[in-house]
Amino acid sequence: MLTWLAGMACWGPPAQRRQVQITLWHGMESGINNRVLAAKIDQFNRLHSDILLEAQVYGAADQLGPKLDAAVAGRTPPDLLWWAPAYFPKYAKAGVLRSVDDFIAQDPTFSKDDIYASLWELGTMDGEVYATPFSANNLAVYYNKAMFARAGIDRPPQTWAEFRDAAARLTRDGVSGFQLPIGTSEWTVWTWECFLWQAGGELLTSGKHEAAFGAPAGVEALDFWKSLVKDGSAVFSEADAGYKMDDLLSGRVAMVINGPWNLALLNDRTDVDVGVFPLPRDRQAATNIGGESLFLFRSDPAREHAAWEFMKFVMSPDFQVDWAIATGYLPVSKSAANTERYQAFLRDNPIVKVHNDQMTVGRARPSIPEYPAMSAILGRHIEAALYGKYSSEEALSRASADVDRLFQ
Amino acid sequence: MTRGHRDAVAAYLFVLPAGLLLGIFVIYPICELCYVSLHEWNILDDRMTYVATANYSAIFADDGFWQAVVNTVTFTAVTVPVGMAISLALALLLDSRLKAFGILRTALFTPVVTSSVAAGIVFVWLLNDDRGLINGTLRWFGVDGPNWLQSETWAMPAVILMWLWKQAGYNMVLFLAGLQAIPSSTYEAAEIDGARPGWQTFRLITWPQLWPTTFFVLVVSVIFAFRAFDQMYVMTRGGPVGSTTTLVYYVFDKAFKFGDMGQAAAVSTLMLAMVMALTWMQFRFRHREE
Repeated sequence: MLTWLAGMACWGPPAQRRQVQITLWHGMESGINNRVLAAKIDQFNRLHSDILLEAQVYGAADQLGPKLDAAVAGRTPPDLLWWAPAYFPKYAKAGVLRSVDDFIAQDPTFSKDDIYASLWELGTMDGEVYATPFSANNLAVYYNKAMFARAGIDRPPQTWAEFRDAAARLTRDGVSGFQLPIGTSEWTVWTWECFLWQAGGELLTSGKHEAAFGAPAGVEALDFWKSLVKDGSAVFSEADAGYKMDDLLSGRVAMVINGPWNLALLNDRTDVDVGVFPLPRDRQAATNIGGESLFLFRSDPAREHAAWEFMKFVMSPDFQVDWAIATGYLPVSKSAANTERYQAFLRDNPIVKVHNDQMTVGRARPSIPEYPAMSAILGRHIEAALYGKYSSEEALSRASADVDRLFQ
Repeated sequence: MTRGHRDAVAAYLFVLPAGLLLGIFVIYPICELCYVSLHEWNILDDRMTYVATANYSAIFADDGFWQAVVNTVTFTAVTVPVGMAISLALALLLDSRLKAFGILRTALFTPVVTSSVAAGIVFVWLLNDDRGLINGTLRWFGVDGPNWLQSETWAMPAVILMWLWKQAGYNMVLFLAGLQAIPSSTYEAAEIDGARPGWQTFRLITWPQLWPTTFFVLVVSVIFAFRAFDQMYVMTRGGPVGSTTTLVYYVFDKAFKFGDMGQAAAVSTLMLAMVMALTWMQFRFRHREE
């Protein structure tokens, strides 16, 4: 009966009668990025007459966890998933992801070395690659140039002290100097992790099964955030929505922390002049490497192979350069970054250049199954500290105790 | 087969469809819930590990759980009586059979059929610190309104406000039906006996006659309030610092943020017990009254 129904479903218009139909789930929110992706998928489907890839939008990437868990438990995950690589280990451990090592080894048309090694690391667990890079990014400070000029700041702040001073000077006439991401979600946490690393701290001990963020460096990082709140020069973002640019663009705040995917949005907004500078450093400079990867879910050999074809298509220099130029994301391969077309693009787009240059101080979140729960714990305690419920020290030592329990 | 037997078989056959539905969608999930609550399980895993009552002791040791209990009780204790009073007042107002009130009745019922996510988003805008309509209006009167949704003190009142607005129409319709079921001859008789319309007739006729409706509204309101989740999810994400995390939100967090289905099931089981106990108490109370 089911086979019969499935058979009936294939009787579509000729263009849809393909041997392998696969689904891609993604959570791109910007209209421009969606249009570029749709065009690229069309190109892929034209190039592969036997495959029909269909994209479906799942909404905010931050809120995907429950939906994906339910889909996996109900045995209906997509073939390919576009998501932050930090999340793949949980699913790899559950045995629902397919490693791509044999595809890489057996595919002479694909060169693994062309992709940045740090990005492979992000998608690797126990020596096997489960998530292939789609695009890269990192965090930097976005600021309102006119407000900087009015406050008499002619050089972007480079250290924590300069940053705190700038935030205070920018706070006037109903404008706040800086917007701190608040809420207990990953956005808050991955932003804070940059400051932890800048202070010389680590998330986990080298064995990766014990919390290390409660050390003095972590306390310094959290105290720095608290000091901005205490100065009155930082306001909180909408809960769990620290990635929204609205308050910067409408002139409520002078600085926010955000990423290069905003390029298209900023090019559209000619009414505000927004600049970008690297995250301020403390003991060292650091930013958090993000970006999305494609996870490959187990199905049958034909679909898995079709999905690999798309992963390969995405990592090709052609896709990477087109995608990077249209969206502001950073390319994942050296050959793409070195093309004359991309280099020319960087000369015209200083915003992206800041992010591209920052890649050298980029750090990555650990690829471990416990990361999502660990992030939830950290998020909750960072929020409690910012609301003054706990001292930074107490918040982080409580969080450490909870995180350590995850590894028992 | 005797006639009695045949009757019994027929009776069971008649009950079967309802029994099956109840069994599959109510009884079985409840049993499964209790079963999961005794195991350690992340939803992605095929195996469950029996841990006896470890999930329950972990929850009792968690400050977050007790905060959620306090939040849920506070939420219920405020929304139920205040909400019922508002709905009853509206119903009494609309019960005066004026034609123009038909539109008003529809208007008051609209929030009930509005999606709580859409309404929640509108309330987020209304409650915005310096651009929201609510603080804007307060400023007119020289009052500097709080930053509602980002304040540990004011987030709960804000969510309660939204809930009252959303639920008022539902209970109002129930009360209205109850009011219209009271025969007008009772009021006429009271008038002949010299009862003054207004407070006296309300106290002596309306309130006692309306009691079955009031009781029903009470039970339903308590259960609804206990299940509150979507408003918090849309407006505050249970924050700031857990100040609007209700029990259902806590269950959601445990299950999907921390992937701990066992503990989530344990809290759900406790909630089920609490709601059942409350309902049982309410019915006993009513029984005695009658």
